[in-house]
Amino acid sequence: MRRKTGSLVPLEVAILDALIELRRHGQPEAHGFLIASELRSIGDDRRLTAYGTLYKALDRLGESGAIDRRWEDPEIAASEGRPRRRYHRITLAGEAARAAADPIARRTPAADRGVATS
Amino acid sequence: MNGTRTGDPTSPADGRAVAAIRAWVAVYTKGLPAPMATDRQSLIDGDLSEETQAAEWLGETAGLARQRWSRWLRGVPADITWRAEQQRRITKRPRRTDMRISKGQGAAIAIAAIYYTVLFVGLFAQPGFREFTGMAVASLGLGLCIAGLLLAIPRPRAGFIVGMIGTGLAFVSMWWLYPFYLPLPIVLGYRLAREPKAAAPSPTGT
Repeated sequence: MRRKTGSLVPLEVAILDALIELRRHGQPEAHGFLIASELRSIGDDRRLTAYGTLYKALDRLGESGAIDRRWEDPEIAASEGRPRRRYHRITLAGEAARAAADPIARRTPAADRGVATS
Repeated sequence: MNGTRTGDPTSPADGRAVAAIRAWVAVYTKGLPAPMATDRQSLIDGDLSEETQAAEWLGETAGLARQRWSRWLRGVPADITWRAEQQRRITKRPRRTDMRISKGQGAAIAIAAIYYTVLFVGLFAQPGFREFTGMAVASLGLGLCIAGLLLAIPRPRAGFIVGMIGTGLAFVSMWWLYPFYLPLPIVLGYRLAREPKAAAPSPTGT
């Protein structure tokens, strides 16, 4: 069955929640593993989200404009001796989509946001 | 720490899990445009590295290999569908479920399918027919003709190829039936001519 255009599946809602939660704790953008860890800490599942499932969902959110994605400067990654990270940040469109997905969303975007993100 | 990087596998078992995951990523990104494949490989590499660091930080390296196998296996279906989506995007080919055929095409395919089915059954039903070898090849050929017609609904090009192979087999086995095969190339050719044209590849990555 095809999903309705613009609709969010539960994992995508959870990812947006995780990004909002991380931002509330001073992390305006997060790499994939950090999101997976946050999903585990705020969700019911004790397991980390699968690689394929997580990155496919992040791609979908990026393509729909719900999140912004950027690659880290390779020099920073090289200087720290690790692979480069791709950072994800929720956008205003993502906050709106999250709020529309659940009328009793845990918080409104403006309430816990110091600065606007887009 | 000579030769090691932050996030390297923590044990031989973990090393095997990491190697398997990297090999799988190489498999399902094979043939995709280089930026797309490299981005995906970098994403997974980064995740594996962060996962190792987190496990070391928390002192939970014992279960790391098992966790990686679990994350990998649970994500395989998503990896496969992700690859299919990327390929579809590259060729700008509509989803199969997006394929629509006109009433005329549908009617032509339905009539041709019935026609070949009747021909197929009619050959078998002929009393005293003894050309068993030719019959077997012709049956296979006619079966492929019908399969080609059905396949042509979602995949015109593949349907055309299968149908033409079927016609060829039927023709070499019972050439004298060739007038009966003629509708097939016409119907499949008509369907193929109506196929949406694929756009030029777009090598954009993530």
